[in-house]
Amino acid sequence: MCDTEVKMENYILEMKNITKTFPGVVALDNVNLSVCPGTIHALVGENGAGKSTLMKILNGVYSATSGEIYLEGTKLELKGVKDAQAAGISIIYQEFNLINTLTVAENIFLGRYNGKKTVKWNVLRDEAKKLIESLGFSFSVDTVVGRLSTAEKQLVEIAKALSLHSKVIVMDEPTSSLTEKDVDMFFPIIEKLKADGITVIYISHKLDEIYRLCDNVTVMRDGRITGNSAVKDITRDEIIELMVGRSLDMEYPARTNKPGEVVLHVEKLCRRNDLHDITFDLRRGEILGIAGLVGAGRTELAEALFGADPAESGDIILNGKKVVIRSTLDGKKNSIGLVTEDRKETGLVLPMNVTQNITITDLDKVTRNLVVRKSEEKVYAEKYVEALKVKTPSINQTMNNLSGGNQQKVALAKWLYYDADILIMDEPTRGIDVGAKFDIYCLMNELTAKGKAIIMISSELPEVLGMSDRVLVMHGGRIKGELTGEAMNAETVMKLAID
Amino acid sequence: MNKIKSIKKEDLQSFLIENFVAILLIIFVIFMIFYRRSFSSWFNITNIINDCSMYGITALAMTVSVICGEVDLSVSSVYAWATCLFCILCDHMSVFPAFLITMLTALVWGTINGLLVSRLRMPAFVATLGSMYFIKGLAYFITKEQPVNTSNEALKAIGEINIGGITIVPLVFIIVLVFLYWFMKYTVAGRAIYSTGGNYEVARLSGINVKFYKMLVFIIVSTGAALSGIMYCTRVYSGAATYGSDLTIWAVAATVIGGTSMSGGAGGVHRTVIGVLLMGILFNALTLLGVDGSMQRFIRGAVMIVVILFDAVLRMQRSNKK
Repeated sequence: MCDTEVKMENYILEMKNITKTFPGVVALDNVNLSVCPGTIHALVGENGAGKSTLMKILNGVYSATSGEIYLEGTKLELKGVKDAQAAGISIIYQEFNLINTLTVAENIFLGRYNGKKTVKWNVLRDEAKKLIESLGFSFSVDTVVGRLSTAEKQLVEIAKALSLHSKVIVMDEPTSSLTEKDVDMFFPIIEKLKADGITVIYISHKLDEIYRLCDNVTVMRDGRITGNSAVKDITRDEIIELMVGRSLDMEYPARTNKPGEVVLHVEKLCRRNDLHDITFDLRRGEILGIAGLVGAGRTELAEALFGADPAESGDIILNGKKVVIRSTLDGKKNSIGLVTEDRKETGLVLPMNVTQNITITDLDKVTRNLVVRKSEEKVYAEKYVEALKVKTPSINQTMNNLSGGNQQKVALAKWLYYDADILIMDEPTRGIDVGAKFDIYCLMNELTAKGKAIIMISSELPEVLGMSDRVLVMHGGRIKGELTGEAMNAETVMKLAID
Repeated sequence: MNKIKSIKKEDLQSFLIENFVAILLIIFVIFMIFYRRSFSSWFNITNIINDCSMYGITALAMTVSVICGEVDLSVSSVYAWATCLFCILCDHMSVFPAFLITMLTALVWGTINGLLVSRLRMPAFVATLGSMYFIKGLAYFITKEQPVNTSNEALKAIGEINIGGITIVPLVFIIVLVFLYWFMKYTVAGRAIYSTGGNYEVARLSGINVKFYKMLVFIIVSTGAALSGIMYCTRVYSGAATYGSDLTIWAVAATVIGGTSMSGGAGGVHRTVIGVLLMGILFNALTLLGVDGSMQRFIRGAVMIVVILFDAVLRMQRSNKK
């Protein structure tokens, strides 16, 4: 794959037969990645394709279950980030690893203040200055990082990587938080790194950037490599197909009921910089899928509808009546429920038990004469544990002790118990096993058959396509398209999502 | 067979860890019974109960706030404020209206603390540290920096109530205990406070009025502290801005010793009874053993640190297990 004059053994980095399993999940399955020296190598794939896991292994954050890593032909044993850094591999994450209250120079040399007993600040400042200048910029290394723009912070991260004498720098979606203008400033820096002989692994969803910047591209899907090519030899459509081109081999229960009248109409919903002019309808008995990449504004939309982070302008019309949703209490009052994407952080009170987590949404229902009636709680808890096939030794078990899939079912049960008419489900099947997934799909069908309406946000395309009656695709806080029938296919969704 | 044995061993271990403080208490009591005969005299026992139930009322209320994930540092000042105001009022009116007005002011302090934390999103640490000075300042102001005495006859009559050595204070403590236990265990508000302390975001996203409940716990703590202050007045018939300076640390210690974790969402008001008893017995014993006042303060601080350290270690072990 390297240019013809470079021989095979001259790959700067080779990851061979990397397999990584987490309990119950194979995150990476026999992955091989070879990178030529002095190139910008793109790594693309859907959310959850395994890019980040692979890079974390390269950086020593995770250790691979099996497989080997070679840097310039030498086998690496990475036990931690320090090992990777010492070998010459740095990674720049989407969320910067910078301390906002320290200066540029302090951040660049964080934890590596040379002096044995005292820090020789002037030496470090000079070096930091040289690094920043070598990148073609000149701002004071005494500036506190918190005052810098995002692009400048990016630069500090790069300077930090250079100060470690990195040979390979991994950039994880470096432009996701940059404005257009910043991007134009940022690209020449990467090209300069390349000219200086540094190899860059560039993770991105944005195909435009890949064509503008990269030499080679590796495509990942479901923990496997699906394609490898020089960028100039592959078309956009081919890349997209490699990203999504799996058959819908998951079983989805057939949708039977037909959507009815409009229950929710959203008109020009806006919020700060994350939601723009969101307009759509939701029908009775419908499953409306919302697709898009991470950061497209899907969760933000869910939070606006439910009132967790209310919209600033626009109308929400429920059953023909305009409603005001300013808080989660308002959302609940209007019979909207939100199953959040992170059950552990925002879905369940882990130290509390199954019953308490189910009845949390409506204690009044089981309260008589000021007292929460344990006997009535028990009836409901048992009802939902049985209906959702939650595997738990008892309804008094604390949530901590349940598996992910069963936790997810309880997180769902609390809104079924509330009997919400509109259920927003954010990544309803993330990180749970196939059997539990199927149970949840069946449940969604049952709910819609009873006239409930569901908005399903999911990063798993087959799921969105397999379960939805209609799909909205979001990008950059906007709805980029509405797909129904034949148009509801992976390629079209991906095209709209990637933009 | 081996397996069964090892499970039992583990159970015993976790039982010992969970009830570490209660076990310590029993050992200590046994030691004292043999070491100082006066310790187990009826007079001394009632003394301990009368003494510790006074601060204990605040400790019970503090437990509610700790369950909600907050600590109110202003209780010592609210307590001092209550002794001052109540004694001043008692010289101008009868006991009951004086009691009501004092409790009402505590409600105001609690509301202020609660609003600062829940609406203005100040960390409770900062908000209540501020109101601690503010309320104490007002207490100095209304007493012109002098202790105030009251000669209210009805108050003295209440203070002299004595059933076999037990004063009215432990009775009030038990009423507060029963009420707060019921409140936390059986009411919607109690459950909401547990949920809010267990995970604020989850509670908010479940449509619980988290801001209201955050405010409510500060009101509960303030009124609890004021009640403690009034109880003190039934014994000494005086008030001063300097009273109760060690109440905050005492109440937090009793809560944590009892087994309510500082991480919130767990524990219970009833557990704090053990904490209150231990604090009472410990300080009584220190006095009986002839430890002088400043040394006692030192030991209190040390006990507090050890207990909280223990709480932290226990929590870390649990989260490692997961």
